[in-house]
Amino acid sequence: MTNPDVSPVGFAATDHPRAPLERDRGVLWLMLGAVLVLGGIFGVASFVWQMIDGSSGVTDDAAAQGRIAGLFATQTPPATFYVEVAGPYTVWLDDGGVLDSGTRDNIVAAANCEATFADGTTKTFRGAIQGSSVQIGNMATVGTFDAPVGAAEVECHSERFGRRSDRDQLEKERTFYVTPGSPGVGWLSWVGMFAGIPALILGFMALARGWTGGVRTRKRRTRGSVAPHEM
Amino acid sequence: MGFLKNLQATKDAMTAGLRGEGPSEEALASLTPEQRAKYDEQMARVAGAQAQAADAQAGVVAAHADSVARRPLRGPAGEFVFGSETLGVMLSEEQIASMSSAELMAWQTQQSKDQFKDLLKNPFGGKKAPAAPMAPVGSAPVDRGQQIAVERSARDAAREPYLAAYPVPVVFSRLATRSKTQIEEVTAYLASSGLATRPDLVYGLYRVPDQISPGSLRGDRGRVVEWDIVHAPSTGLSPTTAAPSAVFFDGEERWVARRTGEPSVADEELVLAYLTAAGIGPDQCLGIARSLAIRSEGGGEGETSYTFSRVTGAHAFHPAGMGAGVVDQMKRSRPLDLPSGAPTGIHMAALNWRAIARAVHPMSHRAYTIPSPFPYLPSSPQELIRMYLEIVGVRPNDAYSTAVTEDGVRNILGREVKAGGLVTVTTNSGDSQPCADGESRKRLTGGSLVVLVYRDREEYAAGRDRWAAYQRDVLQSSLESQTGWNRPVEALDYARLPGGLRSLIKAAEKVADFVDMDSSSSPIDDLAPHRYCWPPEK
Repeated sequence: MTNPDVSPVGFAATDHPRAPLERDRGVLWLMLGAVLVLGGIFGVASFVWQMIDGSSGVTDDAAAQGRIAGLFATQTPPATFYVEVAGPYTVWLDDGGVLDSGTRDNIVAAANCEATFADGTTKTFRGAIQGSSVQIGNMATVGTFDAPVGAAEVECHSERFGRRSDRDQLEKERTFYVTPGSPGVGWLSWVGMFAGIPALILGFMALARGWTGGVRTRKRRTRGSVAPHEM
Repeated sequence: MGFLKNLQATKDAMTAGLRGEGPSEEALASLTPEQRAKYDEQMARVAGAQAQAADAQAGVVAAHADSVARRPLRGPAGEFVFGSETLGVMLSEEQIASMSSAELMAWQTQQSKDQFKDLLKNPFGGKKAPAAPMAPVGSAPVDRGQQIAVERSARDAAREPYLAAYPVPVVFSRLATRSKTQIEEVTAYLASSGLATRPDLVYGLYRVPDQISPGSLRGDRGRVVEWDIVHAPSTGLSPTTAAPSAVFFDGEERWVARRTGEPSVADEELVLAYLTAAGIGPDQCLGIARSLAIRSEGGGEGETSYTFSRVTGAHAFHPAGMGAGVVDQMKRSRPLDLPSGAPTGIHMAALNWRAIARAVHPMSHRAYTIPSPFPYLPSSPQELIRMYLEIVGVRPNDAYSTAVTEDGVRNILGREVKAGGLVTVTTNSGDSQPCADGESRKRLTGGSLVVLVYRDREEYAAGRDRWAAYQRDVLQSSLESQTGWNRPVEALDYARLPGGLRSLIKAAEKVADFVDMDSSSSPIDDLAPHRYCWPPEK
């Protein structure tokens, strides 16, 4: 105790075995709090896990890997792969660890790709025009396409985009990956995250309320002499 | 040449004027009667202005002397908190009258130079606390506890000559409770400790006026709230199952009729009226405790944050089964005709702890300053209580109330000056400090007043003389000053308007504040300025 005049007796009115009162914990509040806290932890943790898993999965799960031709350079060979189940595929660009976010955005925006499928159809897409762009670590999405079953190939090159000072970065050849599926985490994970955080806050409040509870007369009374400083 | 001569003459005349010499007798004799009359008129004006300046200076000196005399703290701590006791170098009336304009100008120039030097030395005007005179012992760093003990023993030794002839041992048992159930827990503790059966051993009890865990998500009802039970040593008491009563008097209810300008009602005065009517003496009274609510508000974007402590009423603690029906009787008789001040035979002392806290515990979010900048002053209000009880010699069977508390509404957020005075930080986050349950938690320390109410005796009057001497000689203080006790009842806003119209205007003001998002209006502004007697009688 910082104050030498004071003798602390703790929660003597409720916690001492001989106290006439005992704390009446709010069991329902405690249960509700526990459910909310566990649900909140699950929601937030699953979101975080999917984010981490998504970022590590780009290179591990890649169906193909290629090089994005630099600005003014000759076209690099296409990345080829076989589509066994028709569905969405995503092209990810590895920026190699560019720190400046503006330069990084320009590198992604300058990327232009064309996917060619076995049935002869093609799909072109640009990093500058995406419904939503995802960046995880050094990886950034260039675009997504739906691929039919059969052989497929993707070739990419950089075109002029953004500041002149970024031109040297656009001239560099970079690696891209083609992964099955759409980028990022599913909507369910977002719901889990947005619901999980308030659930955690409410859960801790409910736990606190339950833990505080009320007081009630102690059922088992004892007799004896007790001094305040012993309580 | 004539022009140069005239110029020289004018210069000589100005120099003579600046020297206060004025025109020579010959020059005056050469004046026409009209010129002489004009000259005399001007001289009379100068004399009048000098007299006015002298009066104004005398007024400033008297006002300053009066404000110094009313200070609760004198000496170094008083100067630290309230500024210098002297007004700086001032000229006497005689000096002003005898000085020429040139001398006066030279003196003022010198004063300005001195002030400029002061400004360079101390650009932000903050007064630095003097160095602690009690240096750590030896070369090894002394920890906080050791330094507290060293300072404390020096204060105890200084108090020795003033102590009552008989020992007055005092124990502060600090109980941890939860806000929601604090009154039940306090009464349960009084029962389980056996003190409920021996109110003659109890000096009083009070909610410790601090906010523990400010900023926690727990909410006010679940917050840890501490209570101090001040009593004589009480070993060997038997617990009782009968918890004492705690009768509440709501401060927002109008119990007493008071007009604007009349003394407001102190909580202890109203509760004493109840105890007297109930026939409960100090030997049966466990204490009068002001009820405190401490709440945090604001703090959003662009908003000022507040953690304000407010007295909401008072509890009277006494053994169960006493005073039945008295409160109802009092309610039926409202507004009560309650004279201001202590009833005959009872002494009330309100000591200005806030003034001391500003010197020794200036940051409410931190523990009190160690080494103390003013080690002759008590470090805590509990120590001040101990000093008073030991010197006056008050026995617990005469005590109605002994408490550290607040008066009115006060923002208790911590304020810390940083960057040499450039930045003032307001915060609720500070040091973790041990609580009554052994846990360390952050804390905002409150407390403005130390209140002691007791049955008076002859020996206590002599004890108060010793207390006055101790205050004067050791504490260098007059702690009964500026406590706000019984401060005059304020006038009601729009007092001349009918009640309905007044309420309408107040409601319109609130709507306007809301619509304007007026962040300058504080929640404190909306609270009643007085308890038990608001609104004032017409």
